[in-house]
Amino acid sequence: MESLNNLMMGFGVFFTQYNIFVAVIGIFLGTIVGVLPGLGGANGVAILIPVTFIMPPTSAIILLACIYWGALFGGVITSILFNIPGEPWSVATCFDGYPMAKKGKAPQALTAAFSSHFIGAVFATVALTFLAPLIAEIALRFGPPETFSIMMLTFSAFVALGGKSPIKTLIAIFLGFTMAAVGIDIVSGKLRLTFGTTELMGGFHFIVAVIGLFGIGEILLTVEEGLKMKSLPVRMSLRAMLETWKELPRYWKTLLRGALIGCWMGFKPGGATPASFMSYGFAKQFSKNSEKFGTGIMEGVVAPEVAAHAAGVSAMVPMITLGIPGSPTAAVMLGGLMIWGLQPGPMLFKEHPEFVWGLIASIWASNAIGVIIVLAFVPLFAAILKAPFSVLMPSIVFICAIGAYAVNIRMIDIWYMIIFGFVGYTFKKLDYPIAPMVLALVLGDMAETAMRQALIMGQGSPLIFFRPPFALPIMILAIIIFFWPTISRWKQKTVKKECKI
Amino acid sequence: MKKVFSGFKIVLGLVCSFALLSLSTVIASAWEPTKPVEFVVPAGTGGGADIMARFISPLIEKHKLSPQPFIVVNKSGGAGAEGFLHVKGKKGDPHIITITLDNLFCTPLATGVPFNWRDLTPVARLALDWFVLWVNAESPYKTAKEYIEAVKAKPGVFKMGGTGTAQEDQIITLQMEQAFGLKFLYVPYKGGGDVAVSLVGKHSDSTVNNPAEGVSHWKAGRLRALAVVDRERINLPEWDKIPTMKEATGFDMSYHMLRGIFLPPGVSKEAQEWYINLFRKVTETPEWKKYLSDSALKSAFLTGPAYVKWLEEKEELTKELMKKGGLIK
Amino acid sequence: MRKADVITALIILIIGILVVYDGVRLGVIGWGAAGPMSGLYPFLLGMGLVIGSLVVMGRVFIISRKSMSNEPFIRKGGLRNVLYVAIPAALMVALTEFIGLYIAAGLYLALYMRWIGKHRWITVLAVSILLPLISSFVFDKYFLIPLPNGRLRGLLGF
Repeated sequence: MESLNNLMMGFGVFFTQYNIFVAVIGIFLGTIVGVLPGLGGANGVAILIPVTFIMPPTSAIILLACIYWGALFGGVITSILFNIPGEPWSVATCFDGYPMAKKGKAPQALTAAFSSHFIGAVFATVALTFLAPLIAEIALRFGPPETFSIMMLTFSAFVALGGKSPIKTLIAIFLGFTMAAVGIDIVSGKLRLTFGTTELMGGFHFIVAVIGLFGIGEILLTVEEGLKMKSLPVRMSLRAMLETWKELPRYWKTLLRGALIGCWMGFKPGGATPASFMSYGFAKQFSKNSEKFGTGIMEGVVAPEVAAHAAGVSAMVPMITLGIPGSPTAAVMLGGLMIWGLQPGPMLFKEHPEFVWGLIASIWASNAIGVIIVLAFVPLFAAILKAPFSVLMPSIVFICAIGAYAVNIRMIDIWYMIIFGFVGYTFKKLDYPIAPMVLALVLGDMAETAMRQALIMGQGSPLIFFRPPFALPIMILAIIIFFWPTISRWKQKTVKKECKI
Repeated sequence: MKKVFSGFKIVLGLVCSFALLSLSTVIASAWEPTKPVEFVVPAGTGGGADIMARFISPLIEKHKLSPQPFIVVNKSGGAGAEGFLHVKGKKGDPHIITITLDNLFCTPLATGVPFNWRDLTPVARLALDWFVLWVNAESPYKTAKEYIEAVKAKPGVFKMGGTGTAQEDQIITLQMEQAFGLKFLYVPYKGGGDVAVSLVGKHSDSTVNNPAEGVSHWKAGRLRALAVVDRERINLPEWDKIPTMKEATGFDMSYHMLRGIFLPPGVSKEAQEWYINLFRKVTETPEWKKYLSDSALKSAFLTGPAYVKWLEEKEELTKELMKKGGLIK
Repeated sequence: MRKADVITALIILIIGILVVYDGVRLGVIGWGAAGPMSGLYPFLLGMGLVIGSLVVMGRVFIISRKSMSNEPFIRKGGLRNVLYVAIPAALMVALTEFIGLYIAAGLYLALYMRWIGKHRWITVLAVSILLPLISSFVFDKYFLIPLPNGRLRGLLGF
C-alpha cells in the first residue's frame, strides 16, 4: 500500500496545469520524431534538453519521457502506411500492418496498433508501480547465460516465420548474422570482416537495412506492377474505430501474452525490439489462424505493438532503479538528470521520491493523453495515402534517405539503403524470407556477445547455458517452442487416428 | 536535363560569388564556428565519454559559450577506430572535435588500424578518471589484501568484468595479475554500465570500474570499494575513505584514464585557440565542478605543450603495459 | 527466374567465401578457456553461406530443371518501371555527394513528378522546393542533424 500512497503523491506532483501542458507538447513532438525513420526518441530528447534548464526537474523529465512515449506511438505509423518502420520495434508491425493498409484497412490497423500500445502501457505501468524493485532484482540475476537463453527463445519463436524453402530461410538467417558480425570481435578485440575499410568498421545499422529491405524494396515491387498505382481506398470514420475496438477483446490472449513478454523483456537493454518479434512469433504459433499471419490480420498488428510499448515502459525500470540506460534515449535522459543535479541510480527513490513518483504518475497520465492525441491523428495520417503515387513515391525515397543518413550521420548508409532495397526486392521474388534475416541482424550481435561471455564464465563449457534457476527453464522452453510446429502436427495426427478408431 | 544543368550553373556561379564575399569577412575576424560542430564520441551511448560529451554540449548552450551548437555523434565501431579515422579524415575542418578515452592509445595498438594520436590536433585534457577495485557488498572480502589472497588460492576462477578487450580495464587486470601473481577470468562487456551491473548481479567477482560507473550502486550499499588504483586517495568526501593500492596491498599501482579533446589534423591556430578557450570556460562553470565531484573525476585541465608531453608519456606507458601483459607483441 | 536465382546464389557464394577467408585469418581451430577461437563464428557463418548457395545452385541445375517455373524474373514492362524508379534514386544519391541532399532531392522530386507523374509545373515546383526546404528546417535547424551538404558547401566555405 506504500506504493499506492506514493503513487497518489506522484499524481499530486504531476497534475498541475503546467505539467499537463508539458506532457501534451512532449507527446506531440515525440510522435513526429517517431514517424520520421532514422530520427529516434534520442534525437527528440537531445534537442529539448537545453529547454529543460528553465524547468523544475520533474517537469523536465515528464517532457522527455513524453517524447519517448510519443516516439513509441509514432513508430507505428510509417510501418503501417508505407512498410517503413520508424523505429526498430515497429518492424514486426510491418508484417501485417502494411498488408492491412493495402487492403484499405489503414484506419483499423492504426487504431488497433495505438490501442494495443495503450493496453501495453497500462499493463507495464501497473507492474512498474508495484513491482519495480522486484523486477530490478530479477533483472540483476540475468547474466550473459540468461541473456543468451532469451535470445534463443526469441529465435525459436520466430522459426515458424520461415519461407517456403528451408535452405533459403537458412541462408537468410546466416546473412543476417554475418552482417551483425561485421565490426569488432569483443573477445579478442580484433577487427573482423572489415577487410581493411573504415566504412565497414561501423557495421551495418539495423535501421538502414530495414528502411532499404522493407521500404525501398516494397516501392520497387509496387512499381513493377505499374507506375500509376491507384490511390488506396481509405475511409476513415468513427465507425471504423469503433469496429476495431469491438474486435480487440477477441485477442485478449495475444494482448496478455504480448504485455507479459514486453514487461519481462523490457528491463534488459534494447528489449523492446526482441519483445515485439517474440510476441509476434508466439502469436503466430499459438493462434488458430496461424497461416493467415502476414496477410494482414489485426492479431498480427496487436501482438508486436502491445509488447513494444509494454517493453518501452518497463525499460524505465533499470534506468530509474539501477541507473543503466536501457536505450540511447535513456542514455540522453541520464545526461539530463545529471545536469539537473540528480544522480541516477538506486538512490533516486530514496533521495528524490517526488521526482521518481511524479515520473511514474506521468507515465499513467501521459499515455492516456497520448492515445487520445494519436487517435485524433489517424484520419490525418490515413489521408497521406490519398496523395498521388508519383508525388508520394519520390517523397518517401527522400525521407528514407534522410532517415538512413541520420542514423549514423554517414553518407555510405544512403548507398547501403539503395543496395538493401534491391536485395529486398530480389529476395522477395526469389522466396528468400526477409523477416528472419532482419531478426538475425538485430539480435545477432547481442546473442553472440552473450554466448561468448557465458563461455568465458563457464571456462569454455557450454553447460553454463543450462544453469539454474533462470537459464535452464528458458532454454527448455526455447527447445519446446522450436519443435512446436512438429509437436502440434504430431498431435493432430494422433487425434485423427483416434477419430478413425 | 540540359536545361536543368545550365540553370544550375548560373545558380552555382551566383552562390560562389556570394560565398567568396562572405569568406573574406570571416577571415578578417577571429575564428568562430560558423556551422554546428560535430562532437564525435568514439564509444557507445551511456559510457563515461558519451555522458561527458552529452553533458558538455548542452552546457555550452546554457552558458552561450559558442555561437553554434555542438552535436554529439557516436561512432563506436572498431573499439572507437571508426570515430578516430573519421576525425582524421576531416583534415583541416575545424567544425568537428572528438572526446577521447584511453582507446586513443589502446585501439590502434591492439587492432593495427592506421591511426595515432599525433594525427590529430590536441586541444585540452579536461579531466582524468580514476579506477577503483570493486567487489559485491555481500562478498566476504573487506580489504583488497583479503580479496587478492582469495584469488591467489584459486587461479582462473574469479571473474573480473571489464569494458572491452585489450583496453584499459584489461590492462589494469593484467597489471594486478603480474604484481600479485594471480590469474583472473577476464570477461569483456560492452560498456562500463554493464560491467557495474554484472558485479551487482554477481556475474562478476570484481571490477575496476571508474568511480562514476559504480557510484550509485556503491551509495546504495550494493558494492564495496576496496582500493583506488592511484598513489593518492581521491580528495572528495566519502571517496577519501578508500585506501590507495599501496596502502591496501603494499604494491604501488597507478593508472588514470584520459578525458581529452582533439581536433582533426591541419586545423588553423586560431581555431585551436578558440576551442582551448571554450573548454577552459567550460571547466570554470559551477555545473562542471559539481559534475566532477558527483562522478568523482580528477580535475586536470591541461593544454599546450604540457598536454602533448603528457600524451607522449601516457602512450609509452600504455604500450609498455600492453606489451608486458602480452596484449601486443 | 532461374538465371536470377543462380546469380543471387553466386553473389551469396562470393560473400560466403570472403567471410570464410576472414574467419580463417582470425583462427578457427581450438577451444580454449575463453570458448572458441575468434574466427570460428565467422567461419561457420561463411561456410553456411557457401554450402547454402551451392545447394540452391545445384537444385536449379540438376533437380528441378523441369519443375522450376519458367516464369521470367521480371516482366518486360516491369523492368522498365523498376528502372524508372531505381535509376533516378541512385542518381540522387550520387549527386548528393556533390551538391548535397537538398538540391539533389529537389531535382529528383521535380524530375520524377514531371516526367512520370505528368503533374502541372506549379505542383512540381511547389513540392520539389517546399519538401526539401521543410526538411532542412526540421532536420538541420531543429533536430541538429547535419544532413549531407556535399562538397559544394565545403568548397564554398559556408
